[in-house]
Amino acid sequence: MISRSIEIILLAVLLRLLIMPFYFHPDIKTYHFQASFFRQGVFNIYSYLDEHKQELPFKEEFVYFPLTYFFLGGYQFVALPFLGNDFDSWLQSGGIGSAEQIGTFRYLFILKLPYLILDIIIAFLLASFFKEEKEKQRALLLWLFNPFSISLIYIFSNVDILAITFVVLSVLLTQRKKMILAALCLGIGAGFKAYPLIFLPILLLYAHGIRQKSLVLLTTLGTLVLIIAPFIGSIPFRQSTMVSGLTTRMLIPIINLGFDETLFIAILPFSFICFYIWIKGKTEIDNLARYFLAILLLLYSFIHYHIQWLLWAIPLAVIVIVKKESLKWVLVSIGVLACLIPLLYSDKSMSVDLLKPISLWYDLVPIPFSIVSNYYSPVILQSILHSVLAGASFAVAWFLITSQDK
Amino acid sequence: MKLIKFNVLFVLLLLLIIPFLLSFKLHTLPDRLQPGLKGTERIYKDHILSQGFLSNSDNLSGVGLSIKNPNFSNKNELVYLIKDSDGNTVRIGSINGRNIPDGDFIVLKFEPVTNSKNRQFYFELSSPTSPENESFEVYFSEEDNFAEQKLKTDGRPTNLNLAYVIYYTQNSQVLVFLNVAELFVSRFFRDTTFFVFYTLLIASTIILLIKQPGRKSS
Repeated sequence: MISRSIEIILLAVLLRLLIMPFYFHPDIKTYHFQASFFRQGVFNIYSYLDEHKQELPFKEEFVYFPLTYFFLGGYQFVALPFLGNDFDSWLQSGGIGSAEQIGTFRYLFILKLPYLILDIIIAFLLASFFKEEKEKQRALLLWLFNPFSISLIYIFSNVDILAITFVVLSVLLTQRKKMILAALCLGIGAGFKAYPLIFLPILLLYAHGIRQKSLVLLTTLGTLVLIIAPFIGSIPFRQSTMVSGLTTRMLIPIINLGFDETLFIAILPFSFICFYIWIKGKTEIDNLARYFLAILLLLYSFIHYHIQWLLWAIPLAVIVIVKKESLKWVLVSIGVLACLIPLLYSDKSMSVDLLKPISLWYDLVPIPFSIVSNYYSPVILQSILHSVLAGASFAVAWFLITSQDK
Repeated sequence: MKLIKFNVLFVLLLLLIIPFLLSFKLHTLPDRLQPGLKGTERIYKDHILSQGFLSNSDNLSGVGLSIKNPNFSNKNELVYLIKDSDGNTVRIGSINGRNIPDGDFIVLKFEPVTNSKNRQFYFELSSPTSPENESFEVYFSEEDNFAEQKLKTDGRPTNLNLAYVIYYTQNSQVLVFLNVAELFVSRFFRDTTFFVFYTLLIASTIILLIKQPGRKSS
């Protein structure tokens, strides 16, 4: 069985190595450009980018929490001898320079290597959830051989894998009843990106007694506070990280109650799930992944999400499918639907531009948005698909929180 | 086993089939690579840029430029005119700032000009509705490409050339695909160290995989 596992992992690694140099999403260059200032001794990247906005070639804010900056910047220190002397000029180049320079294939390969390592680590973590050898193998296969994670990590250069690794570790530790360590992992994960915090209420429900609940809460939030403490006083930090991305998109869909009061639709199902689990009383360890997955499915339903965010759900879906094979095709269908929606955005970097390392000329190929426009409104089509996704997610989320495995 | 087979096919799709199919959607090709970028010239209100060039082929159908538009702040129209040597406008088009990411290479497309070979043209860029503090900025080149055909700003000649690329519509899709493949291979080989390392890495992984004891289907 060990030999079989090694064979699976080797083949999975081979498939990933084949893709790594050839697909390019501009995010990888953006956040590595920002992280490159760590090599120059910049500690507070948020203030630095704000103060030097005029002279920098790129004006984007660094939207992740500090651990992402330190991790990527630290990795660049290690990788620099292999990246070569032209790496910094590649980072600073715009337009054609990004995908055309000689070193592009090398840079993409090397910059994605940490994702490969974390990808394999997650595979082992997922296998660790299960006692039976057959289930361990199944978990390995489902994670390592699904087109969703391969695409989201290596085509869309998904740096969220850093936070995801800690979320998976947190779920595993909760399963083993090591609640404080689970809380610590959630806090560390949040130190890369904020999304793990949405699982904190569920984790609290799994803690026993006021003392343990308090410790879990303090550990998660305390860890995060320690990580962001040096930056809390920085206005650019607060603007970049706390008022962007997930946090703001959750607050966009609303129901107007009148008298200046609104309901935030994205928060409604989240609150519902937490209180339902609380009332239900039984927080079986094996259900934790189900609850987390239910929350994410409903979150995607009510926000305009980035395709990269879909990766958050995949390790949880793997755990659920291993225990409940009948959900496989339902979740795959939801995954396909969820991926189709961003592909219809009016954004070249979601489709043809991904292949620029192979040929810059692909920039001339019409994107799905343009092609669909010839026949129907792509925006309406997106909305229809998103509505179908929301309905499907409701059904699956309800099933996940009300039923039991086997 | 089905899952593994499916994913192997998926990766082959990503590496071979999609690029192949996309090549058949390429109907225009550039005449060369974009020259290196040096600085920018602004386009706003009455500030107009004009660049002359010689068309090398028939079916002239686009001009590629790198354009700055920080944070998509300028959502006005960038208007482009193609004029012949007599100053007659032969083609006109526009692109909205919403579709111009900061620093991106943008191709300004138009209907092919069929008898364009060896003819002198100018492209003129303007954005009458853009305020000065939210101008588009177009990169000029660090190279001195055409000694006689310099960039003009508001009709006045400068010593600069915009960093442009000219596009022509192609008649043969097979030729396009072969061009794509040839350029890809030559670019991949140019980083020799990485090419050798990468090839050895892939080969080693395949050998390790083949040598795994007790390989069976599941």
